[in-house]
Amino acid sequence: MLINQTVNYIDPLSELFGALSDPTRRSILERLSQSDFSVNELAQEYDMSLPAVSKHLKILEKVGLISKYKNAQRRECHLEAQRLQEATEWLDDYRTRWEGRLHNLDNYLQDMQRNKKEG
Amino acid sequence: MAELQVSQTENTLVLTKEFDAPRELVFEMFKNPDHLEKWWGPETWPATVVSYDFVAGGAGHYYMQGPDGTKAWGKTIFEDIDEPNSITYLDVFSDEAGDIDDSLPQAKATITFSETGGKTTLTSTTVYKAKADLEKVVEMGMIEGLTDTWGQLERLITETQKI
Repeated sequence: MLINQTVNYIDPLSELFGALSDPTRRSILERLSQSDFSVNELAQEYDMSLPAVSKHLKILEKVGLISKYKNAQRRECHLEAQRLQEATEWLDDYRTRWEGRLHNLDNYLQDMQRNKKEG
Repeated sequence: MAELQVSQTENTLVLTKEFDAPRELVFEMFKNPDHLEKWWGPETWPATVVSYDFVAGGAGHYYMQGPDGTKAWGKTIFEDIDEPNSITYLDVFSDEAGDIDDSLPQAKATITFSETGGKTTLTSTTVYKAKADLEKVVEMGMIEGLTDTWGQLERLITETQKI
């Protein structure tokens, strides 16, 4: 279990947290959590030029936090909630890792002290 | 062997554990990289310390190696060391050259050591930068269709407003 988690840390998560660290992008995700919106609707919502909002959407799409699809003439954006879950899982992993470490440390200390007495 | 205590509030994780050993010895486990290597990584991913400068402003550079040979590099950057009372450091992802990957999640932790009757209580307090970002997403509104993991995060955050 730890093997998969450790390998996951390297590339996919770096981009995921990078995408989440921007407040506009977080706000976009929150809007999309309510329903799908088109690129144009989002641009109006944020009073942003189309290229500017597209830039944010591109980042979110690249890390898999949103997906896009065509609905008649509109380009719709959809929240991929599963990806957010992966970020929260990382936090759980951190705690689990430390629990394991402290357990290891305990065993190591006990062995060391026991060996000292016997030695 | 006292049980590990865990508590999480907002974006802080607190771990407390009592060790049946004197404080100087427990502190030594963090100070001396030869000891550190023995317990830092799990059995399946043992740690190897490449360089270790245990002073404020210094850093420990290490990797953990998996069964297939994959190396995961990390660095601990020491901010403050008050021997044998506490260590404050930044836990970051790195590469083989020792460069820090700023975009990856970072955690700042303070470990304190206190001794009573020959037993040492270690308290580790970690503040997640990434969790604060995630927290903001949750605070903004309820995200539908997620499973227990997300629910767990919500329970950890003190204020949520369901839509």
